[in-house]
Amino acid sequence: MTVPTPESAAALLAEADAAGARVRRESSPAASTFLVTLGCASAGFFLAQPVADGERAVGATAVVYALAVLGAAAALVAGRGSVRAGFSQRFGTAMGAWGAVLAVGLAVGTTVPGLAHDWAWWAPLALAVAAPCLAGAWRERPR
Amino acid sequence: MTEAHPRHALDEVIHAPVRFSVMATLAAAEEAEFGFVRDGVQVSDSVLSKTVATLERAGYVEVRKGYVGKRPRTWLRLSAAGRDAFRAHVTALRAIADGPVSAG
Repeated sequence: MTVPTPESAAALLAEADAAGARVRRESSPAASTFLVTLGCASAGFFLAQPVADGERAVGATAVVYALAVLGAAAALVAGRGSVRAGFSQRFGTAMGAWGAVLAVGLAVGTTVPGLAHDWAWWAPLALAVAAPCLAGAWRERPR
Repeated sequence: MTEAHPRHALDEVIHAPVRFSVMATLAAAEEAEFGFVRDGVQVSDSVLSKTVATLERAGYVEVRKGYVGKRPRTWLRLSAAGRDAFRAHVTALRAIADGPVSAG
């Protein structure tokens, strides 16, 4: 193996930096866009619960929410470019935290008497469900 | 006792120019398509195939076949061992570039 001189080592490091810059330029922001959409749609869905009057209104918010999530998922799949960044373990962590908050929030909010229209329950929960998605989107953004 | 020369930390598998370029590209991504790497490294399909095969044998690169619509695609990514090896190699290069170190 030929040992690089300081100059050739510096040239190799510059080449690695250039390769990294090219990857960042070409990376699709699909992962972070998906997480932002998911976080905002989830927060909107929770904030709609206290004002949704009756089963039809609750059903309508659920349909709108489901369509938003499906649309974001479709865009995520379609938006994959020839190089992918932002699908690291952190993406999975954000999705796991979002899923846990959503499941617990919905289960408690819809079964415990008096919580269904209580802003004090749904408003903080809206922040809590959006937080992991927005934090994940920030960390997974192409840069 | 003198400190070990950073050249001892260089990875012989990664040190070859094309292999280094491929590793550098993959190190910056989670996964990259074969064509993307080929165009960036500026080699032919066959050269990249051989390079990837070498890196795969070393346990540094993982190859995944997939489809975009009906078109077959080959995706490349660094394994955990590959990321660790590349990081160590770059650290050694940085130590050499930052010199001065004796040639011995």
